[in-house]
Amino acid sequence: MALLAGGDLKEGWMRQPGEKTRKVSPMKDPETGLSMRDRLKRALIQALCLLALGLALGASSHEIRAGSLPWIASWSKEEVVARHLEGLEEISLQEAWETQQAGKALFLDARDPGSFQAGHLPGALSVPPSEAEGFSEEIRGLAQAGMIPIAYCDGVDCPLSAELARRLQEMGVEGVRVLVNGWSRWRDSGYPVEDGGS
Amino acid sequence: MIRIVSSQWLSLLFRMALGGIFLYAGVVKSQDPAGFAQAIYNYRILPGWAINPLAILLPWVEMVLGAALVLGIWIPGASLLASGLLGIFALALCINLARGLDIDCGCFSTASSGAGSTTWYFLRDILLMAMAIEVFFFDRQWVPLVGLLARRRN
Repeated sequence: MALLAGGDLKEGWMRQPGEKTRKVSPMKDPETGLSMRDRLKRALIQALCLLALGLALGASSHEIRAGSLPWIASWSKEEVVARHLEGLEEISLQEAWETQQAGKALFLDARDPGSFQAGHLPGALSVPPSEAEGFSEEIRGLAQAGMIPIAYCDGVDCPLSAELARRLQEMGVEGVRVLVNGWSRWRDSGYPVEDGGS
Repeated sequence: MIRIVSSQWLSLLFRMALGGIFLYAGVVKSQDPAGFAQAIYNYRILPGWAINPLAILLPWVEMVLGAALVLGIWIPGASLLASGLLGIFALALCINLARGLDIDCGCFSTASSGAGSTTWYFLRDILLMAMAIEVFFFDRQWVPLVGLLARRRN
């Protein structure tokens, strides 16, 4: 208990001459003399004030900054997917399959390396968005040679494939397309998949 | 061991580190509220209407909290608020750990690496929360701005 008080308070019952027996609080702060309850109460009021200040500053700065995030937006799956694909070109599963059959698909797996190891689309490269820069030269060269880069991840509203496609576009790689919910749809359609590799 | 845990130097170190982390996190998030909103969405816990307000307001709460810890203003309140925020964050991580959700992309990953990163975030969060609790109990307001100003006035 003395540990909590941070001082060398003695725990237990004390009796001063001519005084009734009283209990010394082990939770008392030796410097301020406040009990733990009062310390907590004071801290709670301070915390609420800091919280209110932060909220007020956040609301004010949002009003001042033009073009920032709206207060309310729809986060339905359709809206999220539409936002992800803004400025990007989607590819249908059928077209991706036909491109792969024609030997022109360059699949880019945007998921984490562990998921890639467990299974991926045929001939895919493991390119998490954070590693796009290291692959941009190679992908640009293959795209110029006629391959079609197709980014995919897993889940309808997974943001990684769109993030990867956008980064590659910014690095000058043209014609990158996004296969929404690529891994699950490809696998569930019974198309061939690979495992292992890097 | 007790002396080390209750050391004022350790409290000062923890307070500065926590304050710096909250300040940095708040500044980075406030620069990209849309990206932060996506990160909140990836947790799949909050209803849609709450995502944007939280993405707009939380970075500023973090910045105020970080500044208070670094400058030594209302340290008990700041460390209590930090513990509370980190506690809520730990709970959210725990829920997603149990659900097997990879919070980096908001996808239910079958691979272990997704849950691995969530575990790492959880452990890091618990460590930060322990630091905030230590500051709450043992910080003796070394180098506090309020104290310095009061001394100058005297």
